Amino acid sequence: MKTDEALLRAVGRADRQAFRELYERHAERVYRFSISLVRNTHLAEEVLQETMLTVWKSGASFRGASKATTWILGIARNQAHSLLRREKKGERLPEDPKGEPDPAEVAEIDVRVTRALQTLSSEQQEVLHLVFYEEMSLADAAAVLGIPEGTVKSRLFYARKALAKELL
Amino acid sequence: MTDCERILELLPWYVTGKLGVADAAAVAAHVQSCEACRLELAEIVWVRQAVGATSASMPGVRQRVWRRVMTKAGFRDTANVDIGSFLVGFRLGVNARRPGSPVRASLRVMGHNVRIVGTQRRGECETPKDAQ
Repeated sequence: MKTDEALLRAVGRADRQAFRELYERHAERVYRFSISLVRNTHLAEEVLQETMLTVWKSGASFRGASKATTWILGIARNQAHSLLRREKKGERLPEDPKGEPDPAEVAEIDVRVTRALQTLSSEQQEVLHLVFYEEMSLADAAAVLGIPEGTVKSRLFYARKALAKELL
Repeated sequence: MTDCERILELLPWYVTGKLGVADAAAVAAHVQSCEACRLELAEIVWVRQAVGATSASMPGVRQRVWRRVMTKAGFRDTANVDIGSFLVGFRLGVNARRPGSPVRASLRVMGHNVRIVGTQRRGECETPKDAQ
């Protein structure tokens, strides 16, 4: 099986099969991370779409200085913030306004925890997601978030304290 | 920085198994003798479970996202034939795209791509993007 880095190099040479494989490996990861940022499944789909288009166009610029996962999630983060800024300015038009998730699909989600997570800032949610769901190392989380490792530690500390306060 | 402060910083990555052997051993030894850090550890385990379960229970990505990506990337195939055998090391791939778009067919033999059909738009560059 090819590594992510090899697939990215192939994507840089416009290899569609490699791009498809990369999408299948990372789509769920990018989508779930995006939900923690934009708090909406429809917007998260748009973030995923734009992220993968950026990967397709910029695969050749991947130099291997970071892990492929870190690089892709970093792109997703930028796309999410860009989308939220446009949304705030009223510049963004939804591509499919009827694309709300099927209520049956979200019925299984622990409503209490979800509500508690929604009381946190998006910065707190993303650090919780990267460390506890993606199980990223301190260095990788800092790379995705573009902040020093010390800031990851303190942000994570306050995020988990805030969540615990909501739930316990 | 006190022992507890240092251990407290390591606890999240102790729980997710991302610490090196020496750091993990230091955390394990410390929490055995420190009740305050043991309570922090329990809280982190609980928060991790809550975050993990919530993220995992989110609905998955819908197929339509991939279709949109293909369309926006400009390579949505209207027909795609891909036959071959991994065992004998050959593969034939044909991509027929929207009217007016390039059509390509290639034969992959023992790891080498051999183009057998290829049309291109005027001004379209074959390399390096199209080189396989």
